[in-house]
Parts: sequence; structure tokens; C-alpha cells
Amino acid sequence: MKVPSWRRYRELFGTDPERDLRDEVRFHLETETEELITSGLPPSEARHQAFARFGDMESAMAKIRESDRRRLGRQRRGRAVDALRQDLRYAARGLRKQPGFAATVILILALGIGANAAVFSVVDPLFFRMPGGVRAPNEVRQIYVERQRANGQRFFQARFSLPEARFIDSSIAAGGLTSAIMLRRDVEVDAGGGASRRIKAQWVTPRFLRVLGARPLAGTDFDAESGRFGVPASTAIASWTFWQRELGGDPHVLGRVVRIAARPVTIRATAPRGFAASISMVPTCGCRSAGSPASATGRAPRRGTRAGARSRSEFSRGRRLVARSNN
Amino acid sequence: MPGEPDLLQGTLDVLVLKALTWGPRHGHAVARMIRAASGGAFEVLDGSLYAALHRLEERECVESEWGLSEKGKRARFYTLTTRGRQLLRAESASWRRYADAVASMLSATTLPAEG
Repeated sequence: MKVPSWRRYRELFGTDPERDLRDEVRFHLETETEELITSGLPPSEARHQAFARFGDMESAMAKIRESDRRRLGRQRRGRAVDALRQDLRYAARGLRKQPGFAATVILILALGIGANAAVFSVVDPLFFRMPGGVRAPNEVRQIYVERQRANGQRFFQARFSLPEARFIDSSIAAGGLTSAIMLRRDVEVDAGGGASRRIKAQWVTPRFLRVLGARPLAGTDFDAESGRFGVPASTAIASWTFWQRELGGDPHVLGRVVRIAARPVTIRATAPRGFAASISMVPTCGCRSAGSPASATGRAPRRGTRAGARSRSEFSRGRRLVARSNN
Repeated sequence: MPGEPDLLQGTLDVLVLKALTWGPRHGHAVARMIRAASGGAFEVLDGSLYAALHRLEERECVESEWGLSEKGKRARFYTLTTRGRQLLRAESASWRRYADAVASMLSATTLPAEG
């Protein structure tokens, strides 16, 4: 048997078992036909007989394809294992030859992977995951407002001043959806020891927990009374972390009075563990005259408030709730 | 008969392996050799023979490689592997025992002792 030299390069481009099978059978039938013609049969009869001697073509081809499929699958797996084994052997030899270089590479890789893992572990819960305790998070939408600059350029606004957020909140409520607004600010909190600490607080509208589908761990959620416009905030919901860290996990935390922004506020409930990153929650509306950051500073309202809503079932998944307005 | 297909398939495999002991051959040459050796005692369909060749290749008893036939045509040549030789030896011994037993029974002129 003479093997053409070019055939050794064919492996580089992979094999085509179906084409090979067709070629093999064609060669057989042609050779058989030629031999029968040589023995004296007319060409048409020779071809007919060659096919007859082959038998059931479909059945034979099916069996051959099945054998080839199993064989090639095993070969592929074997090659992959061989390649892995060779790589490992090569790596081990390299490590033995240059241990200093190997140690440096391993150290750099470890530092790189460690740094990435550390960053991801921070970024993941902050940006990619909803806080714990949120029911059906795919139904919760952040509100964006599409606006237009003087030069005609359009953009989406995600943070609003308090009056803007209030307007959005009432507009959404008028549309029949449950919405809430939230403002994060640092406030001075005196948990009772006489010394105040600066902590992050969320100023929210009363429906905040309902929009997120969360329920207090203990105590009662905000009600309409606690969010009445112009009435100073007198109650707050403590997060699990605030309860544990600042209040020492006090079992009688409900009803306890703390001073937030120098005003006495009663803890009316505790939030479930893992819910919300901030320390405590106070209704925004009531705080307006009682030292909400926007009004207490006397400066122009800053845009730090976010608005959210829970979509109704008829809203399609992934659709953003966008309110349009023009400057 | 339930055992018959297995017996036939195993028989064909042995015949194919034996045909390859004389060197690499393409499927048509193997078919021609078996047909000639059988002396018309049995007919092997060529499709079954190719199925046997590919089955034996799957079991790593034969290897195949493309080459050129005696007439210069592209053909697939099969070669017996070490595993194929081992299988052929084992199957040949088994066949001889079987054939001897059948021959012994058929040529018996006296009642064989039961035991």
C-alpha cells in the first residue's frame, strides 16, 4: 500500500467521517463493478450485481456511522486527556527547572486572582444582586426619567432632588402602581449612650418595604400616618446591622428611643437580616420639617434621591418603567 | 434462534481479522479473499463486511489509513493491530474447539459416554 505524502497533513484539518464513508463505499462498488465487467457481465448487469452483493445499503451505513461516531468520540476524549497530561508534564518540568521563576509566576497569579475575587465579592452584592428579603426582585424597577439637554442631547436621569422624587412618586401612585422613593444620607445618631455617631441612613417613603416586598422582622411597617407631609418623623425601622451593632441586639428594641439628627425617634420595627445596606430607615415626608438633609442645610436641593416601583403582572419582564419629561 | 446473530457476527469478525494477517488490505480485497476462501460455502454481504471492519476499528482491533489501490485509486486500507491479533488467536482457539466438538459428535459411530 502506498500512502501519499500529503495525507499526513490531512489530520491538521480534521477528518470528515461521512465523506470518508461515501468514498470507501464508492470505491468498493466501482471496483466490484469493474471486476464483474472483466469477468464478462454487461456494465448495467455488473453494477446491479455489485449493489446486490453489498446488501441493504441503508442498514449497513447506519451501523458503520454508529461505530464511527463512537470511535471518533473516544479518540477526541483521548486526545484531550493526552494534551492535558502533556501540558501538566511540561508545567511540572518547568517548575522543577526554574523554581524561582515558577514561584514568582504563582505568586503573581495568586495575587491577581485574589484581588479580582476580592473586588468581585464587593461588587457582586452591590451592583448585581438585590439585597436579601426582596420578593420577586425582577418585578422591582428603578425609575429613570428621560430628559433633554439644551443642545438636544437626550439622557436618562436616575437621581432626583427631593421635590422631583415626590412628584414622580405621586405620579406613579396616580397611575395605580406602588412606588417608593429613597434618599441615602449620613446622619448623626445617638443610640442612647450620649455619644453620637455618623452613620448612613435611608430616608424613604412609607411604602418602601411594600414596594420591595419585604416585611419587618419584628414590629410594624410604616403607615400613612408616619409619612404625613409636614409632620416630623417620629419613628424608624432599624436594620439588622444597626440593631446588632449600635443597639447591642437589645431584645426590647421596639419602642426604644434613639436620637437621629438630634431629634428623638422611636424604633418601630427591625428589618430582616441582610435587607438594605443602610443603618436605619425614616420616612422622608415627615422629616422635611424635622431636619431632612435637603431642607436642613438650606442649600438648593441636591439630586440624591432614587425612585422605584413594583411592576404589575401585566408589565412584561425586563421592561423599564420610564417617565418622560423635558427640562 | 436467539444466539444465531451473535455467532454469525463473531464468525465474520474472525474471518476479517484472518484476512488481514497477510498485510494491510482495503475492504474490497478482504471481501474477495473471504469469498474465495469460503469456496461458496457461505455468502457474506459486502455491507455486513464493512460494518464488521468499522466495528473492529472501533474496538481497536484494526487500524485504517487512506492510500492508493493497485489501480491508483484512493482506498481505505485496514491493518491488524496487536489487540486484533490477540483476539484472532483467542477466537481461533475457541472455534477449533467448537469445530472439533461438532466433528467429534458427527463422526461418532458408538454412543458417547455420558458424564
